[in-house]
Amino acid sequence: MGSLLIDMPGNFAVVLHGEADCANSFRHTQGPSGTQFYTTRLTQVQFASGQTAQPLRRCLELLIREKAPDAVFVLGNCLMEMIHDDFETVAAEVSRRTGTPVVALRTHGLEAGSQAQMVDWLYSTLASLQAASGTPAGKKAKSLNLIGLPRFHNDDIRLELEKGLAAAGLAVNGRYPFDTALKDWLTIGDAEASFVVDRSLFPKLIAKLEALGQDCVEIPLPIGLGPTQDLLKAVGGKFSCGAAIEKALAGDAARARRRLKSFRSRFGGLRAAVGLRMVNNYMADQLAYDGLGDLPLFLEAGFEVALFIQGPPEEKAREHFRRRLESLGCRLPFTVFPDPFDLPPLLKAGEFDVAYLAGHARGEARRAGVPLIPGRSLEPFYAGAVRNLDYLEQVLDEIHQKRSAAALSGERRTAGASEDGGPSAAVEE
Amino acid sequence: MPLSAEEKAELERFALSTHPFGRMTGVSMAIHAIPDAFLILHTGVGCKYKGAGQYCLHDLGRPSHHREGYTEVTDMALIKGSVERIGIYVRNWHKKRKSAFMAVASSTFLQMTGEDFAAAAAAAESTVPCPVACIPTPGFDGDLYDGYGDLSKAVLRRVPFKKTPPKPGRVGLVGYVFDRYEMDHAGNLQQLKFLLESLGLECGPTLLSGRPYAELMGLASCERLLALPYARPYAGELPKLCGRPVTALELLPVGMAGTFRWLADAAEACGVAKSVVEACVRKQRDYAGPQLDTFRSYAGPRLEARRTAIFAETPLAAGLTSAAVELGLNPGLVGLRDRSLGGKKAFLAALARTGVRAPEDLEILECPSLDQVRTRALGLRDRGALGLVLGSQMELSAIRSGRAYGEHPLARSLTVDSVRGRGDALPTVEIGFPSYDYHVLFPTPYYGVAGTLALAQRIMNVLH
Repeated sequence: MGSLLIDMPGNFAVVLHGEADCANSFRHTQGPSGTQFYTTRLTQVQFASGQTAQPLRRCLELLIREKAPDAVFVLGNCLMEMIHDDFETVAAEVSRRTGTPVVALRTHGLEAGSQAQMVDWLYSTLASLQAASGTPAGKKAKSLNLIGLPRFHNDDIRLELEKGLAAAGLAVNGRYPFDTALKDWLTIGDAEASFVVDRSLFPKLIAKLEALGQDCVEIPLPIGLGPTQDLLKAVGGKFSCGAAIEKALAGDAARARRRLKSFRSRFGGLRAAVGLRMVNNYMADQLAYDGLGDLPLFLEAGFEVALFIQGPPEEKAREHFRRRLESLGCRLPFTVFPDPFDLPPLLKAGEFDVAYLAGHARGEARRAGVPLIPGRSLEPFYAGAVRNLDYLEQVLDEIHQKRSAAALSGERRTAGASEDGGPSAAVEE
Repeated sequence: MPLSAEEKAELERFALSTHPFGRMTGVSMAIHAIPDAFLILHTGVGCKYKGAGQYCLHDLGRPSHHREGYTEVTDMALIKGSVERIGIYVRNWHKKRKSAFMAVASSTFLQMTGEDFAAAAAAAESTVPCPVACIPTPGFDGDLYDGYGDLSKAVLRRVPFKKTPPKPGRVGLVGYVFDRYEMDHAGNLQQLKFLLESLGLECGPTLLSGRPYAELMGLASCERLLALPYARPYAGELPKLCGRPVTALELLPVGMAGTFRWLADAAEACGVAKSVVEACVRKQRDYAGPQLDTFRSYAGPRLEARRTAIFAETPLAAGLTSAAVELGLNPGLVGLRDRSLGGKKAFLAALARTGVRAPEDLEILECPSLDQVRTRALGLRDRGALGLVLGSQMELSAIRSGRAYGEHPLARSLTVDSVRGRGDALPTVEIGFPSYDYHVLFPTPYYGVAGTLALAQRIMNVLH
């Protein structure tokens, strides 16, 4: 929860309610809001004697007076759960007195809840703030929310999306969770409809939005040509403006189609290892469709794909994964591995040309001699589809050059050994 | 009603600090510094981010997650008792990794149950062919250096000092903080070796230095140990732990004056004649002097009267401040990023020991919050009074983010080791832990005379 909030800009504060070291449970530099985090730094005596309310109350009062935040989130830790500290009462009391929404959340680590549950919990909480802050939901016709899209690393992606929507008279109310600040969550109810990547990730959020009278339409993660087209069709279908969007983006779509065709003609039939469940980063795009959101890109590019799922090695877990993949319409071969340390022999045995795995597996991929494309580094929409294929081509060219050079040097070494009647220096090396 | 000065100070104590790292991160980092060791974090789900996750982006030289496992205690295990998990995890992970040394660190809420984890670790030790240490890591107090020290002590306790005769002239080092397998540390360790050898001493193992556990046991053959200032939290325990003469050094060999004072202190501790030190100093000063003159003539006109801000843990901050004065960088603001290495008093004592005089108006903040760092730095910059920042990713990131994220022109233009633009860009040099944007491919120390020159080079690269 701390990681997700630190990544969100806006005029809010977060109070970590517990001992000092609990403020060390996330990376403090990963987002814009680390300077808005506070901790009650409870001492052992305060904990043991139950004197936990006063430090929290004091911290809240001081920061609300000094910073005047639009909202404060109080995150209770494991110690607070252990004694079932009633910090919700303090939060409600301060909120009532100051008029600032203070949201108390029990974010202890004693429940092995899923990342998806955590993400849905936070986003549904943020979506509730519009009502809690008294901001009336003013419906904006032909405006839409996009929920669960990946982060846009390049501006041409945003421009392409806006061009397509603008041609149909549509406007984006908010793109959640990335590229939205707290103020955007305070107006999430204003859109006419929400388009959601993997609805199953967000049951609580969708219930909130539907209660506000919004239609919530499922869209794919737009990585690759096909998913991008499907997303645009879904938007066009809902607002009856598919033709206008298609016309506005016809050039972009044609460029992506040409790029895909040329890529397939050069590289079709190569083998890709795609890793799942390797990262705990609470990112909605990573979690979408159990991590299969990027798969269509590899399939449409002509790769033969095998999945590598990090998880317990027991047969019942394997059976669970098999059923889950089937329910998502995926019948690709898969291997379950408990620890990235185990990956090199598996990757080597599979003779893969490329591995799409969590970035922290770079060492394992290197040991297996397979080039790594870090997970979630692929970009969305037509412009992204072209860039993804450029990137893949570059990686594949490099590895092919290396492999050709290695094969050539192997041939030379063998030739050297036979000429000399013994091992050459190169062979000994 | 606006806050009074006292209330602001009170709020500052609640704010997220530039050094939020606790004992658990320190233990994890120390395990990472022993390539064949393994750490079991006996924790809930949330605590596992306090370990390898905190430095996996800092170290591109070696994956940190291979040497760490988690018991992931849930509420049910908490109720039923979690202690039994320790033996199971120790055995399973040893089977997979064949570690030479293992440690078990336990989190705050589990410590509060009163279960006997030390006994469980001891019982587990009898079932695997390697030592297993239990390191409690309650999070109420203590910082990274406390945890790093606790693990270092656990290793020292296993060094066979009593069974090994000391070798005359062999000196071991204790208290080196090795946080990544990159070439900044390789450079520093080379410098430490060079400095000791230039005194005619043999450099034994360094605790900890990225070397295997068995090699660390070689400390037993050292005649004497020198403790770097990072060993301050446990310096008093060292003589008893080691059974060898131990000298606690007040300084790091950082900056010219700092390096020369360090040499003199090490020489005195090891009975090396003053004339040897003087000869070393003369030689190195002759070598570096003209290059430092070049630096000053380059940097001076570019910085004009603007000040330098330095953020680092106390001993490194003292070294960098003395180096900054020597380089003509006019330090104006220092933030001390620790809670265990002596704070302002130790900083001033170390600085005084170098013989370098800091500006009288030098402002010193002890463990400042991210918010304060950002407010002070941007405030100075807006008044045209800040020309350079040396700091870790924590401070540099805070300066370019925060409440007015994206609004302040500096926040947009600031880059690490910034070479972009000449307008608002504030030159910065990323140094210390964590460094996410500065990585090192060839030996680039910040210790020793070579380190001073390397630092000057990095600064030259960002001053335009």
